[in-house]
Amino acid sequence: MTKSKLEYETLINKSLLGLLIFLGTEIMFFAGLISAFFILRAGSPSWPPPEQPRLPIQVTGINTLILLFSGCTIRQAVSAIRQGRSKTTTRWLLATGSLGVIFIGVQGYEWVQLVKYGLTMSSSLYGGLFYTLIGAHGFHVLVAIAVLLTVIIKAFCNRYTIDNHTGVELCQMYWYFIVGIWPILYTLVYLS
Amino acid sequence: MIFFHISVAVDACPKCFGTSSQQVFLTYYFSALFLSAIPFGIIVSSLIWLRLHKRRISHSKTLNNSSGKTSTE
Repeated sequence: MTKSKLEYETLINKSLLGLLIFLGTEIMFFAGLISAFFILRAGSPSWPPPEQPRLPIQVTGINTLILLFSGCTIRQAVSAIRQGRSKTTTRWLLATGSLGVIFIGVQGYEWVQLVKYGLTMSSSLYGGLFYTLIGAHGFHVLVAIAVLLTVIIKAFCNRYTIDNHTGVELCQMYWYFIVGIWPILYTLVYLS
Repeated sequence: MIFFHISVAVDACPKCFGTSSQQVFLTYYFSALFLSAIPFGIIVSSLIWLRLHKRRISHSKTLNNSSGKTSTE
């Protein structure tokens, strides 16, 4: 009597599934922050408060375009590794990282200027909400840049191939998340 | 039965329900609806993504089997 081995096809990589679940929790986290923003704003007599400094809409708008463009560059990186072009992948990943660093650098500079003009976490509800929402996103961008740096180093060492590039796809998914959430935060916090 | 007979008034957060502003009430209810709907949106999006992911893998496997594609760099 012979035993037959049951063969099955894995639908999804375990790492990708884990990241999907993690991104779900992150989406809920930002949804909670956005809901709190709406409720606290609805309870304020005027928004933004008249005595608080105004946010730099134009500069942040350009920064938003930079971040959106970084979403395109990481997509090119994943397309390249799916075709087995590892050197092209590294170049696109470097471009993505550079755009991410520019984004976070501009954000940091804006924050320094806003603090100088008197908008701090404790100056008002407006300041507290601004730094909580935008700061949470900024922290996620920093983590994404750190992850991207690891992926770039591995790609530079030719660790990714046409059949094995899960790390690049994981990085892409997380990058899409931080790129996707930013226009929502920009519209709510800066444009409203 | 004990809990039924011990009637205790439970107050919600006074930030939303301690005010008479209709706007805050509406914002609270819509945000509660939004937060309730988000998990379903996540699940549906994940299922759609999984379906597209499976289709892409099947398609690339078919292409690889027919052409014998390998890394070019």
